[in-house]
Amino acid sequence: MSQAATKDRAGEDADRPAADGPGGAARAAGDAGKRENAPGDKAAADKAAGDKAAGDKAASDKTRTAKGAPGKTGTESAGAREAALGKYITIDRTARLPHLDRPTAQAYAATDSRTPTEQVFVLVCDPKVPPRLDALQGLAKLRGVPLMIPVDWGPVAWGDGGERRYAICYDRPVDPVLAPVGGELPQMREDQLIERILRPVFRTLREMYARGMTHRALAASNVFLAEGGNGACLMGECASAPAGMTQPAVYEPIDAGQALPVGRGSGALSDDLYALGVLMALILRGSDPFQNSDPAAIAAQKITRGSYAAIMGQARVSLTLMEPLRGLLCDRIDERWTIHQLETWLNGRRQSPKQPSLPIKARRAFTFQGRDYWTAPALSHALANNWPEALRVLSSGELERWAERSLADDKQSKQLAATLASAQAGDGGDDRALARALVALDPAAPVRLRDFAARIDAIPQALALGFDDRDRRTSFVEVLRSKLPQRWLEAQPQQRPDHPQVLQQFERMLWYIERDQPGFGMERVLYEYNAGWPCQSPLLAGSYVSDMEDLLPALERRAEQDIPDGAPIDRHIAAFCGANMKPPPDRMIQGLGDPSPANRAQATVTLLADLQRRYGPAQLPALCEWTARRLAPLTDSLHNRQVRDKVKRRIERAVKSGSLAELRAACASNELRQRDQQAFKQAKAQYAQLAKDIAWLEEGGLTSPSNVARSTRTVATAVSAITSGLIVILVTIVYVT
Amino acid sequence: MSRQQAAAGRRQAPARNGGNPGGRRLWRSLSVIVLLLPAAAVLLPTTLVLTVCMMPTLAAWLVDRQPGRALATSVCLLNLAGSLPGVIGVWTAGHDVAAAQWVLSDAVTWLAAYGAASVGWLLFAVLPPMLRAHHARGTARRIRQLQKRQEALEKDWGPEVAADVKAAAEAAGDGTEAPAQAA
Repeated sequence: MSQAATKDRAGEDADRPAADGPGGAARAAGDAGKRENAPGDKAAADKAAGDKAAGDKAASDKTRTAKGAPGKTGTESAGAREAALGKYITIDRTARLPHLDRPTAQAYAATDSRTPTEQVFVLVCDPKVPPRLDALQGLAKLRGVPLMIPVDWGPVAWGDGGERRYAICYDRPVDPVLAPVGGELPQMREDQLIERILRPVFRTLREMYARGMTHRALAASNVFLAEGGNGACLMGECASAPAGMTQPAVYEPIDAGQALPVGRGSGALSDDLYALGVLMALILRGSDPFQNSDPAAIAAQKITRGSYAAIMGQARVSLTLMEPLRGLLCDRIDERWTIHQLETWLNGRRQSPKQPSLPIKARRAFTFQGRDYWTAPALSHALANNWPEALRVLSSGELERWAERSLADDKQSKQLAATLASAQAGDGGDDRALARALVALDPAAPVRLRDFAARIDAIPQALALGFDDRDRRTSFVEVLRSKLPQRWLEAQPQQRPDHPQVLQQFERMLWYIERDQPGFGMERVLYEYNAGWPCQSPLLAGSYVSDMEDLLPALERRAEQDIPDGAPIDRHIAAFCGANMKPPPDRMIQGLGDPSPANRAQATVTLLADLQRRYGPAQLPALCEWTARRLAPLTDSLHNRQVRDKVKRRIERAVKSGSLAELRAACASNELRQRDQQAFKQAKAQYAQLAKDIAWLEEGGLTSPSNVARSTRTVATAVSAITSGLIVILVTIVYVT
Repeated sequence: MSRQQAAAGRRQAPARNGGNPGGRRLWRSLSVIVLLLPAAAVLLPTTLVLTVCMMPTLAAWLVDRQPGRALATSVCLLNLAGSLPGVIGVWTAGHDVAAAQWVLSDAVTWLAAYGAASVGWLLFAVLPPMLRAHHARGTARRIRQLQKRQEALEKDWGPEVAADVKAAAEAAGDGTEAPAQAA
């Protein structure tokens, strides 16, 4: 990524005069206010900013393909104080910028050699929390919106141990954030709120919506003031962490708030619009009523009272602003305002505020842990947050009776009864039964099973961010095996056209998980359904390999340190290759799980050679040596000593050349191995026959009476025939002459 | 027996004869005799001489019961060669019964025919101990040759080429008897 962006910027430098026109004018700086510039250099900085904005990252893919040696994207400079991101960005590791920190990324001062007068900063991401790589390219293409747009990104060498971390470079904002985490929100008049917050954010979201992206990090702590608080705000970055993960729970819709932070997912534009509504409401209210509340309590409040009432409380709002607030904070997605409705309102068309549609109350409350719950979603939320007690309730049959007698919605009642009946029939155990019951009680809620809770589109992400957690993996498998996503999709009141596709994805995930051989299993799900996720192989620890091009250089660096005892391709790397190589090398990956060590070694070297052929680099001597050491089963499988020695000599030559393709060619091919095997069988048979002959001779077979008699008969017949023939000839000669 | 059963019996008779090896041999012998009898009648002097001179062959034929009748064959060949001077003598003396009597009265004729036949008998008496001694001398050499070939195989294919043989020997409980077990 970094090289791509770097190249783009290099191209921008060359095209600077041409890009200095409308592109510069369209720069976000115009909307978002100034960035930090050296005094007196504002004109130059503006020009540079315009140049950056004019740059197009569309050529990045081509650049990536053209690059020679991956792994050089981020290199540590001579001094340990500095680290380089791409060719132009230099990170000052001693200059921390804590006020620009993000929850999962630390900010450092940096300089861009192309625009030395403009100050930039870099967010260095937590190695365990990868950034939104899929969003970076799209974000970099955005123009003319008040949003922090990534300038450059990629892995950088970080620390003395050769560790690499992902870093994203942004222009450094001058003004502070709207409100730091836990801080007070600024007071704004309604017109200021509309002009400084609502319109800029609307423009940004509209542009992102047009490109199929979501921000998912819109919060007061991630919105920057501009022009000393008098200008349009600047939306903060949204790529340093998975979508929605770092968002305070209050900014999330009810279903996302019920999910784990890692299970919120990219969501949809409606989530961003909801967050905008929350931001407006909090500014109007002047404080965050849920500042010290846990996400479950916030979601419970929102379910019970509705988001608008829960957030606004008794605060008064003008009718003018009440309309967008109620529209944006609507808890039903199908009733929530869309971007077009917001645009219509901003254009001056006013309507009466939308009334909140709360869940239908039951005829009788369900008492759970001393509290009465009148709606199915509220009860579902309470049950999900008290799992052990909920299991007891489920087994007692109280829930079934309550659903039959008290729920106003007959369809929901029947569905719940059917779910509970299937659970009692022993279909999958108590946890699964409760999870299905929760889906039936509240179809809008995320998929929940014990401590696992994720929206349907974020289930793979929840697995990825907790892959080291055994319980998380177990829950994930159980979610798939109990077909909870399928149940969730079936329970939705409105079926979407993409539901069959989603269903197919989950069936495919289960298919992968049921296969335990390398290249499949949980690891394959991890990489197949989390695009751009870095490879979690212990062999690549600290290397941050998210692109196929970086894989072999990282393995080469690992081999240069010391060659591990294991194979260069483990389960993670096999799955990473399977998910990211197009077309996937399925035959080679299947070979990695072959019971024969020789076939496994053959598959390993074949896959590595294919990787080198596709992604380079051309020279990998250390990795060749590592691979060659793992080829012992392959060479040992050859029986003929001469052939074996010949293959070994060829392997040694290939290791010196550093070419994995040559190493693969040096290895015995299947045909050679088959020939060797056949010849070996013949040799064994021959040896056994010789042993039999020797035994026969040692037992006196040659001098045995039968053999002597047989020899005698043969010799006597031959001697008599020859003798009689000679006699006949002699007699004939005598009588003729 | 009905007429139909008689017909069936007639149809099966050739098949039964054709399927009996003893019957075939009898027919063949009778055919040879039928063909040879006119020749023997025409060549009566020769027949008389050969009949007398070939008596050792007849004896060998009756004695030798081994498959292939190697003794009878050897004696026959030499006996025939030894009888040749007598036959030629009959032919040169006019080929009549008197000539045959004259030839048979000659001791040289008997000596040649019976002497040659006795060489055939002698071969079977002398050859076994000679061949036994010869084989005894060749066994060790032959074993060495075979062992060298085994060593060559082990050099080319490694010890695993002998794994089966050794495993069989170990299974038998005594590695030294491996070749014997394999045999």
